[in-house]
Amino acid sequence: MELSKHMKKRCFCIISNLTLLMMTGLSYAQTIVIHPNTIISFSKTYNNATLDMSNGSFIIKNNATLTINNSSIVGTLSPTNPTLFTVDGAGSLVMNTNQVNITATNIAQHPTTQSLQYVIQVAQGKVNLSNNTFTINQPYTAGFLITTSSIPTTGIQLVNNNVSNFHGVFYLISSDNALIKNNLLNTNSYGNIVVMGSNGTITGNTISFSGNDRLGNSMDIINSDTMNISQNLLLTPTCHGVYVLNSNNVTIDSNQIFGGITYAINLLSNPEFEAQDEYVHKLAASLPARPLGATNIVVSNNFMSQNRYGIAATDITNLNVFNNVFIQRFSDAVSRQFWTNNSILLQNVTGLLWTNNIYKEAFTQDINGDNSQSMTIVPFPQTGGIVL
Amino acid sequence: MQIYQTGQFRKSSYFSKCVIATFSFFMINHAFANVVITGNQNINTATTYNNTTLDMSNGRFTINTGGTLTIQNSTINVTISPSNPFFTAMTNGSLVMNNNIVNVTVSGITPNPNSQSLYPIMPIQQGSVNLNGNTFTTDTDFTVSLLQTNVPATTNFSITNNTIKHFHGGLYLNNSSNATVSGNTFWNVSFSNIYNSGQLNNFNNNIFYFPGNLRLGDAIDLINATGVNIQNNIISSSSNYGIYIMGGQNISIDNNKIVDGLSYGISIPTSSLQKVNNKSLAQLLSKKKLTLLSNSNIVINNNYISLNRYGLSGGVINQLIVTGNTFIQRFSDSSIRQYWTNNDILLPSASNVTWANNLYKEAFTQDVPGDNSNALSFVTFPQHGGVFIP
Repeated sequence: MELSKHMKKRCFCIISNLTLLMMTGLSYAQTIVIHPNTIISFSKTYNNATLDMSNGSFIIKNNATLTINNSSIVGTLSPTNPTLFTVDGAGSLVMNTNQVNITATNIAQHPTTQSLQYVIQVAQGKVNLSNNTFTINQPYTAGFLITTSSIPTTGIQLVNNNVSNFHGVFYLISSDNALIKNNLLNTNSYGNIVVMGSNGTITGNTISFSGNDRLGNSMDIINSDTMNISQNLLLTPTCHGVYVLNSNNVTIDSNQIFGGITYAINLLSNPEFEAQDEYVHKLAASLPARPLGATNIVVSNNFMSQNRYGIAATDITNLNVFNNVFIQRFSDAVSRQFWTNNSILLQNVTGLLWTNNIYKEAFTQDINGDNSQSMTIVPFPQTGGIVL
Repeated sequence: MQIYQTGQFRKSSYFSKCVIATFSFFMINHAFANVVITGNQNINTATTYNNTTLDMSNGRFTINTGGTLTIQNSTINVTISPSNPFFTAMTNGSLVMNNNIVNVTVSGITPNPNSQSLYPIMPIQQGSVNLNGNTFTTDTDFTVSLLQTNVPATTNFSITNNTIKHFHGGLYLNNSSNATVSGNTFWNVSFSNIYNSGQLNNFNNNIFYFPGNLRLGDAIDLINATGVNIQNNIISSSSNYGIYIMGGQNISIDNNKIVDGLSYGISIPTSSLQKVNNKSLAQLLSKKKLTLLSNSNIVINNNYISLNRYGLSGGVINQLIVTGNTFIQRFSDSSIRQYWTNNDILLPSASNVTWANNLYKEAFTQDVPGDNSNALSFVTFPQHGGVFIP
């Protein structure tokens, strides 16, 4: 049956509109296979799509923006496909409300060395990720996001994302004005939030099991200036909770750090690393030389419970520690007094202000154990250690 | 400028009445630098204090039907004593407080950590309550509680983003439904921090530091409560339980962090008036004949329960769903670990149990130097038989 003239006209309009929509970069529910090294040199948007990146990757360049919204992404990282999203040439990657499942193939687990593969690698450009979920099937294999130390980046925004099982999460190296807010990081090894830059804000994040029972701090702030770390919840870090190296004007306020294997907060000027912090050393070494020194660090209103130790600092000028709560448990009074003695914990710290910090002995874990010393809160003195 | 409001209107002269009326006109809905409240001020109409310092050393408010008391951006210094037993009572009406600092001085009240306070500073009979962004602090532990409803049903309370320090009882929501208690921080609140019997209440995103104040008290107590959602709370260093439920039905406990508690992270004992009495919770119940509900349909999902002496226990419960939780504890040997993580002992009378995807991790040692060889892996927390670390 021949279409009427009116119907023909309508069909033409519909096809024209669809073509127009496709040309503007809008996509609809469909599986799209991404080929290796797919260049994005003009802005492109995927909405409500399924992206198959099993053998593919994007390279964003030429000031273009790749935007992916409300989509499902399946990607494979391997030695031959080491990065899924490369941001270069002042490009931008914007991802909102996506589910991203990564498979690691032919990558041996290497919990004590840095990843060679990353989901997102930034050379030059911007990244804005919000409300996404990223998971990888194999721990200790591939990292999530890393910037390049030799090329400064600025304004990276990572908000409300859920990231699990990666071997390295947010490595913002030579990156200023970063916002890392309200993310959930779960069982990621190596560095979870690593920032080297200035004017960064890290707030409202929950980081569970950083290090994934092998190696990794919750936060590493290295060679940085003017950093605000506030209202984060750090649960059972395998290494340090907050590790600050050679940085100035750092505020660590109103964080909660529970159950860590070692120090809740460690502040250092010199790279006097222990073996377990080797990964930090390597990252720091990749940066241009910066005068050593750490000044103006504020540690306030933090709640540090059942970490093996509380705060340690070495070679710091102007350290202000106030209104913090320390909960620890020691087998005897001598150990308690030693490991809460700032004469031992704070080495070569000048300009120290230590006020209104309190200590409570943690409740025992032993069945029928003794809690007689756990029922009071006492001042944590600036010197001399805790005596109950 | 200091304004005096007293409860002696009827005794004043005509001239005084005129002066007070004039001042009251300015006072109601206007801001003054300093207002002294004396005696019991009845609030029978809409009254607002904004950017005010309220001196309530010898004064208090009672909100009655038709009254709305709104206090915003103010500092309130109140003394609670046997002769000035509350800050604001409400027989009916509406209480709205936003962004105030409330400093409570206690006078002539003996601390009583093991029994309920006789002095809730906000006793509520009926009406609506909206508290947002306030800081309430008392200077004497174990003396006065903050807010308490009673037999008459209340509904739709909104209590958000407040800081509550050192009260002997936080929010006692008897027979209260559809309340939102969210974003509050409780510091050293003894007895019950949030107590509720009622329906369809939401207790979300609150932080409890030292509930029980190292004497007696849980973070959240539900007695005869249905349809309650307890989500995204942090409970640290409870002197007793983190969350205690008796007579709970259709309860969701989701994504909470319960750490460093003296006893169980979550306890759901068999409904029993005797147990209520033993736990001193009977003092919190409204004065009416109580028939306890049975425990049923309790969902415990995605919680992080760490370094409490024990994790989860319960008595008679029908339809218990426990999935996706992480338990972190530390035991001196494997037989003790297996015993105290054995649900055949911890949940002996629970029926229709769904237990899936729960993990156990041995806590890192606190000893210096200590052995962490058992603490570097997650293992499955089985439904039966207890945790065994290979």
